Amino acid sequence: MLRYITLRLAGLIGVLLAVSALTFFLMHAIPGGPFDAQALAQNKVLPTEVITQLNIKYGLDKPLVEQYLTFMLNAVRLDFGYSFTSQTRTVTQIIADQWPYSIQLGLLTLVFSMIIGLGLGLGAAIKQGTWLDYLGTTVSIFCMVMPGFVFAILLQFVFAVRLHWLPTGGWDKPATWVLPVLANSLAPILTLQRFTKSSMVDAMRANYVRTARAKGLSEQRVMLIHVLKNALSPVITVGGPMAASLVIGSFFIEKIFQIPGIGFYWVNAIQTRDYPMIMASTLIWTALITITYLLTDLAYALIDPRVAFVKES
Amino acid sequence: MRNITSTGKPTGKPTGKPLLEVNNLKTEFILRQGIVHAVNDVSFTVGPGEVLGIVGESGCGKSVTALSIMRLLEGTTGRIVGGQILFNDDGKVRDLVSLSREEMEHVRGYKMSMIFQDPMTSLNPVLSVGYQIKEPLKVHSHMSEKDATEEAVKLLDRVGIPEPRLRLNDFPHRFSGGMRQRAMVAMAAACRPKLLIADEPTTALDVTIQAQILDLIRELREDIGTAVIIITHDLGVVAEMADKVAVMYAGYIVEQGTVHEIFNAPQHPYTRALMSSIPRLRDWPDRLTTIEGAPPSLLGVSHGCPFEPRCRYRQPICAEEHPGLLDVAPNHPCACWVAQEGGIS
Repeated sequence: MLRYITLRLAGLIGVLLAVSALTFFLMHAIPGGPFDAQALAQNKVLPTEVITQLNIKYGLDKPLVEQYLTFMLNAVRLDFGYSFTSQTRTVTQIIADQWPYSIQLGLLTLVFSMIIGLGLGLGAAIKQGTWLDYLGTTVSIFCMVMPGFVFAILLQFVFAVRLHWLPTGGWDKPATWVLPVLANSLAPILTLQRFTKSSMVDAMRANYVRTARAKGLSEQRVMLIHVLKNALSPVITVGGPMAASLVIGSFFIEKIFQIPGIGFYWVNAIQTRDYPMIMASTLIWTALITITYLLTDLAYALIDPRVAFVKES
Repeated sequence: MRNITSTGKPTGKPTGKPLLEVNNLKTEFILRQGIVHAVNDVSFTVGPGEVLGIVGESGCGKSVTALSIMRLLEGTTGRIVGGQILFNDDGKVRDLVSLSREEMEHVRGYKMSMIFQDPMTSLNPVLSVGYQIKEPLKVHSHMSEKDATEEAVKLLDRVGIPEPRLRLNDFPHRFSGGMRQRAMVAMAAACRPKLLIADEPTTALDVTIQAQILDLIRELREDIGTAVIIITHDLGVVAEMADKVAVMYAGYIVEQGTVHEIFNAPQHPYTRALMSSIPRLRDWPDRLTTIEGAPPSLLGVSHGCPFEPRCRYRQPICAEEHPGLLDVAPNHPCACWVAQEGGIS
């Protein structure tokens, strides 16, 4: 087990190297540099001398390979350099300052949509054809057809502007969390509800469920122990990567609700050719996804004894 | 007539009240295409410690009869639409059809239990074998974890699993098919049920393992005196295990009798055809004997005898009216106009 985890983490290094190299050379291959992109945004044309000076300051005059190696050596120490869009804060500082908001939003969304999505999925599977089943279907269809940003604005309009129950935005008191989490939960609820229902229904048809009933176990015990434990694997498969994509931050939700999260910075970095920020975001995303997959695989082993990581002798 | 003598079968105990009395059981499946009459007016009794064999070809309603008795059709498209299933629980006779789901849970796995056809899929893959054997002990016999573990060790040992204490913690994927069926037998026998229903318990197993599992069921019957309903399409299994035989065809019981009567003096044309399709070692045929035609669809209502289209002895009345079960010999009912009229020579 330990050997397996070590090997997987070693694999992570390879993945990070490959992804970083690919991203680095691709982003430099795009025409235009960070300074003319920023200047263009402000309808200005910077004099060539200024651009040359800026390039020297940020080390952009050196050969690409050298730039890449310097960046990677620093990145190992979590030093991604200064953001091109900020004179005062390094990329690491920006991430440390802003990311916690996104993580908090993401985790709250995860917990909320797990409760609603798993609950509705379980209910729909166990009580097929009842109001609970129809409620689950209704909610998941709503989640499917309603775009998150439209729902966010609707929520703001109804609960903040009209009813004055909740604030329109910001991120401090728990009251400010409600609307963003609701708006952010649409896709996760949809995914969890549908996967939970279908894998429960699949497991309920299995022969071992009939065996469990033949033993005279109560319906509750049959469902919660014999069915649910078998139905969990597919849910974990989608749940892991979903958790990763939630904590990485959301551009739309954070923008609409004025949450100072990191989502805005990721998207802005690409528009402004903020090389260090692009690299940092790519590396963090890669690490996060890879680790989530590792955790997902470990969770399988916890649930399903047939999963073995070590070759049996 | 050839003689098949059953071997190693303990002589049936004197039977007073039957343990199980099924009266006119009717089970249907409601499909989009119509109603499937899977079990029609099926009646039989099983005495304490007795072994009843139910034989018939695939789709004749054998398994549905068993699932109806266990009330395991709930949640499927099948339902019991008529009849009684009287179960004698130490003198207290109860109709299982009318029990609530909760009441039925106290009968299933406790007073009567069931072994299924496919041991590979009948055990839960994510729960240890020990956990699954201990479950009925804890739920029905209210044993503590420790007592249940000790009992499970004994049970696994009893069904011939080596190193039972160690194997208790294993998950089903580490067990072979034969071992899984042994574990199923252990689980079914855990609470010393009065009735054990074995639905094709050996069909999915190798021939050598088949014999071992049958021996095991027979031993259990001797040990705890449980009655057994063994469902099979293997006439050899019936000859070896059963005291009584019920032959099913298209959802009906067409003939019933002692194993001796059914094998040596079958009355119903279908039973006769079944018997003559058994190849004999001494007189091995070039071609195996078959029954011409195919069993009828169980969809919709049919009049007449369901075997009529395939029957060599059919009479005009056979296509018009279904023959009820009538004794053609003492305690030997047969549903055939011709046999009831005086028999088939």
